[in-house]
Order: sequence, then C-alpha cells, then structure tokens
Amino acid sequence: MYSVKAPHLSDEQLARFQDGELSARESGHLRSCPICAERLRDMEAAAAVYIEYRDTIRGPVLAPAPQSWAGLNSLVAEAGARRTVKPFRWWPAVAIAAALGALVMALLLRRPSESAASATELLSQSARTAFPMSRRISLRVHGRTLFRPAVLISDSSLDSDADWKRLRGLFVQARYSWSDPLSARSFQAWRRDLPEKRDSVTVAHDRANDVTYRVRTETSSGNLHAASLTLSGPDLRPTAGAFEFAGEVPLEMQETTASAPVPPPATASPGVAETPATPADMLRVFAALDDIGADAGDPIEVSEDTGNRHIIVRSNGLNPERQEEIAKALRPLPRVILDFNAALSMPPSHAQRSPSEKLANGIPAALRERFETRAGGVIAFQEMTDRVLEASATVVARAHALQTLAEKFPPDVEARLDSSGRELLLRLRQRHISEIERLEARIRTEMKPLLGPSDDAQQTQSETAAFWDSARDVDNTLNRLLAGSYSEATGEEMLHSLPSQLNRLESAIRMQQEKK
Amino acid sequence: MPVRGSQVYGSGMTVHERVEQIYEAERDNIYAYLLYFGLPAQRAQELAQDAFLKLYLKMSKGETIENPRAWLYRVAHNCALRAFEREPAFDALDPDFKLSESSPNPEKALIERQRKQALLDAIRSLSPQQRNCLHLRVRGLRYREIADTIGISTSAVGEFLRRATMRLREVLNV
Repeated sequence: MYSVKAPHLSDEQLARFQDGELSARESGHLRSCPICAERLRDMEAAAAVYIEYRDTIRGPVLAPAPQSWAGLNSLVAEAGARRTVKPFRWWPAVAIAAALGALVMALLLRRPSESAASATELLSQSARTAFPMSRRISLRVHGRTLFRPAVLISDSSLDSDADWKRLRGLFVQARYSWSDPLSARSFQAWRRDLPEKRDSVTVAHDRANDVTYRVRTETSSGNLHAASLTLSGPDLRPTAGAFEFAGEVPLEMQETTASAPVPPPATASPGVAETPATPADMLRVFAALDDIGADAGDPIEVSEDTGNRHIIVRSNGLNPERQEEIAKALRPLPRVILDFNAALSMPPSHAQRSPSEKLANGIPAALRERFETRAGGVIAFQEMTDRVLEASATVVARAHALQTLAEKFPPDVEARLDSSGRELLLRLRQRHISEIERLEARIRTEMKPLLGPSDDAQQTQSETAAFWDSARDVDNTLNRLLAGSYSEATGEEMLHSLPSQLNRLESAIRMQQEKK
Repeated sequence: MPVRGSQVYGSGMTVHERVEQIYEAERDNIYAYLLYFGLPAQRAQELAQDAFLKLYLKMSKGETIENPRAWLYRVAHNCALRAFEREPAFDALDPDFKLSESSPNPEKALIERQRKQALLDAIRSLSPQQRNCLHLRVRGLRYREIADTIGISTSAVGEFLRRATMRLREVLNV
C-alpha cells in the first residue's frame, strides 16, 4: 500500500535503481509509489529517446576511425621501447610522455599517405578556433617577400603597390577572401562554392615534430586551380598556404613572426595632421567610443602621440566586425590614428571569463550547498553567479573608464574646454556613474540571499574611497567567492567582508554625485 | 540501461588481459565521445589510444581504478578540452546538418524523416551540458562518475538530467 508519508526517492536514487544498486527498502518504496514510478518512467523514456537519436541520427554520421586500431600489445611495446632508449628513467612522467608522443608519431608515420582525415572535418575544426588578430603573414611572389596583417581591415594602404593590387585582383576574381586568406573559414567558403573539386589530405611533421595536416583542393573551374592550407598543432592553426592561379607562378603564403615593414596604420583623416590635437579632440574620441559602448570593457587605449599631433586609438584582440564599428565611429573625427594590433598595458579584466572558470568547483562543499539552497537550486546559483560576475566585471570596466577620464582631463585641462566640452565631459562621467550605481544595486540584490541580513553598522563613509579600488575589491571578492578555490573559513570571511566592500563602492558613487 | 564496467570485467585476469578486454570493448565509444567535441577523426583516434595506454600504465603500476570506463571518459573529456583554445560544446551540430533517409518507400521515408526531425529538434533544444550528461548516463556512468568526468557537482548532474528529461518530455510528449 502506498504511504503518503514515505519520502520520495531522489533522481540519483532512481538512477541507482536503474543500475540495480538500490536497497530493498528503497526499491520497495518505488513499487508502491506511483509518483516515483512515473518519474522513473520519464527518465527511462528520456534515455530511450537519446539512444534513438545517438544510434539512428548522430552515430551513423560520425567519422569511422581513420586507421585500424593498434593492438594493446603494440601500443605498450612501442611505449616500452621508447622508454628504454630515453635516459629519463629517473623521471617516469617525462619518459611516458615521450613514449606516447613517439608512439603517436610512429603510428602516423607508418602510413601517412593513407590518412583518411576528411578535409571538411579538418577545415571545420580549424574554423571554429579563434586565432590572435595580431597574426601577420608573408607572401612570396616574383622573388619578393611581402608582409601584411593576416586579417586586413582596410587594404587602402596596400593599393599603392602594383603587386598587392594584382594579387588582390586574383583573389577577388577567384571569390577567395583577400582580407583573410590564411584561414580555414576563407578556404571553406571558396571550396564550398566550387561546382566540382577534388580534395586530398596529407599528414606531415613540422620542425618540432608536431603533426600537421595539408588540405589541398583542386578544381577546373575559376582562375584558382588549386589551393592548399597547412594546419598545425592541436588547434589546427593555419600556418601556410599555397595558391595556384591560372597562368601565374604558385603563390606561397606563411604565418610569420619576422619583423617586416609594417604598413602604416589606417588614418581616419590624414589630411589634417598639421593642426595639433587638442583636449577637445580627445574628448570627442571618448564620446564617439562611448556612443558604441567601446570606452568600457573593450581593450582600447586612447593617447596622444609624442608631438601632440594625433590622437592614437590602440587596441588588440577585437574581432573584425568590432574593429569596423570603431573605425566607422571615429572616421568623421580629425587627427585620429587607429592601431588595431597594438601591445596594450590594460588592467587585468575578468570580462572574458570562460564558462569553466565560472563553474569552478573550489567552493567548499558546505558553502556551496548553502549558496545553492539560498539561491534556489543548483542552476539558479550558477545563473546568479554568471549575472553577478558579469555585472562586477562591467563595474570594474566602468570604474576604469572613469579613472581614465580623470587622468586625461584633470581640472586644469577641463578648465580649458569650452562650455559644450565641459558639458560633454560631465555627461560621460555621469553615464559611467549611473551605470556603476545600477550594477552595484543589482549585485547587492543578487547577493542578498547569500549574504543574509545586512549589517549597516559596518558601513564606512571614508572620504578617500576611490571608485577604482572599491570596484576592484568587490570584483576580486566576488570572483573568488563564486568561482574560486578556498577553505570554508576563508569563504565565511569573504561573506563577512563583502557588504562593507559594497558599502565602500556605494560611498564612492555618492561622493562622485555630490562632486557634480 | 547498459551494464557497468565492474560487471563486465570480472577479476582473476592479469592487468594486461583486463585492459585489453576494456580496450576491445570501449575504444569505439571513447573515440566517438571525442568526436562529439568536434575533434578531427585522426586526432580523436590518437587521443583514444593514448587514453588506453595511460590506463594500462597506471594499472600496471598497481594503482586501483574503481571504474576504468568512467576513468577513460574523464581522460577523454580532459583531452578534448585541452585540444581547443576555448571550451568546446558537446555535440554542437552544424545548423545545416542533413538527415539521412534509409527507407526506399516514399511514405515510410516521410514518416521516418518526420520522426528523426522531431528527435533532432528535441536534442538540439538541450544545452551541451545536458546532452553530455545524458550521453554519459546512457553509457552507464553513475551520477558521481558523470560529475567527475565533466567537472561539475553531483547535484548539477542531477539538475541537468532532470531538465533534459523534462525538456524531452515537453518536446516529444513521450
């Protein structure tokens, strides 16, 4: 007889029942409880659905193993043989790693030409990975070696050179991206549109003995008869390419770290560089960046050149779309130089935190359980963590932007601005302060269930509280508390100190508002 | 549900025999698991073979591995993460993925296509973590083992699976 007082089984207990590991008493409950029996049926139905998907849809399209499986005997024998020739017995980990590497190499070298790695698969894998925007490439043509950024934002600076112009024409005619030629994405786009093609993949080894794949596609249509891309390393980074245009000598392309004549950075308005840049010019740059949300969060530095003739906007790591957006916003402004491949000295940012960091398991079990209970469940806690850390990172970015404005426009410089300039500066500051205020309130609300009742007596009104310091303190604590590793005692200490840090930030906001 | 490793691989065997038996039984599954992260086939096969060699070396040194199959999935998962600069999504299907048809009968082919499309849509509506948990669960891993493989808490595994179950029930009305 089903008893309403008997506690229902957890999902994990139901899973243990499926595995035949549930105790007789708990199994007895399952037989008499229609609710748990229904949940078990749901779990079994979901598993059956997934198995059907795996076996009838996904499984059949998975690539078969490209080579026959090496027997365990030969795997072990080759690893063992490798260990005996390496004089590193005193350091087994290194010997094993070397043996594994040698074994993989041996397996690959055995039948390199029989590699069945699919060109599509390799290109898709490479295209999914983001590579640094600062990459440069060299092109070998007619005995000359030409250098350029791997990704061109604007090629107007190359147009004066006849070889560049001719090469661009060839690529454009072949419908192959000239702005990003050494990339799997561009190769895929060209290859996809070919009416007929023949692919081949060869496996080789580079100088460091790492495996590299060379994907080659040939076609009889268009002016580009064959192209190949060499993909290296675990992330399949395109490191070299070769292009065979009709009636042309093959064009070789390589990723390079060699220093080379760098094309001048794109200049928004080169014709007016004779007039020195003024604080008002710089302020307009900040305002234009603020309009597109690029003055807080994006890795951008704004400064004057040594002769105070230009405002230089430096950045690194922005995607091409964002670069184009920034270039467009700054184009109407005079005396501005853009450099999207600059080395920056930005403060550390948590804005691009990876999901795995957000899901760090370093929180002590007791605290995690308390957080999850108070936040309303596991998923609710993880979602709250994402929101709080994102808000906190934005607070830091806004505080940094505010500090930058204070450094660039100290009182004596601000005094030299005309009334509209001063008004614009005030508006920019106010936007940052309002946003920080909104986010601080949001963090406080989100964290309230975790912090428990607030202790107003801890509030400090220090006049020296600075935005930057207080925002950074809050951000550091939140990152460690929600996504870090620590002991339970340290966790309790952080929970205790967070309210006062938030109060410091709030004080800083109030002081800034009073200063206005 | 599939039977667990400890039930399949009895005792009384040498380490070599035991690992060989596991290797024969699981290498295709570990290889397929790596493919689900988007690794090229060649690389996935290399990593799968490495995982079994590591298992052998570990067990031959006398280390006890309670569930070698769960251990292999954990090694494979970690290898997959290390192979990418950014954390890869589990079973991130190409939006242009085309369903295959097997029935020559047009009417049956239509019904089969509709069924497969509904299945595909249902699985696509799950998050990568939910798909990963479900994949490992139907491979017979316990909650604790799934948690160790993916690097999340046991309660998170339960929550992902519960949500996946609810979602599939909603979408497919199973």
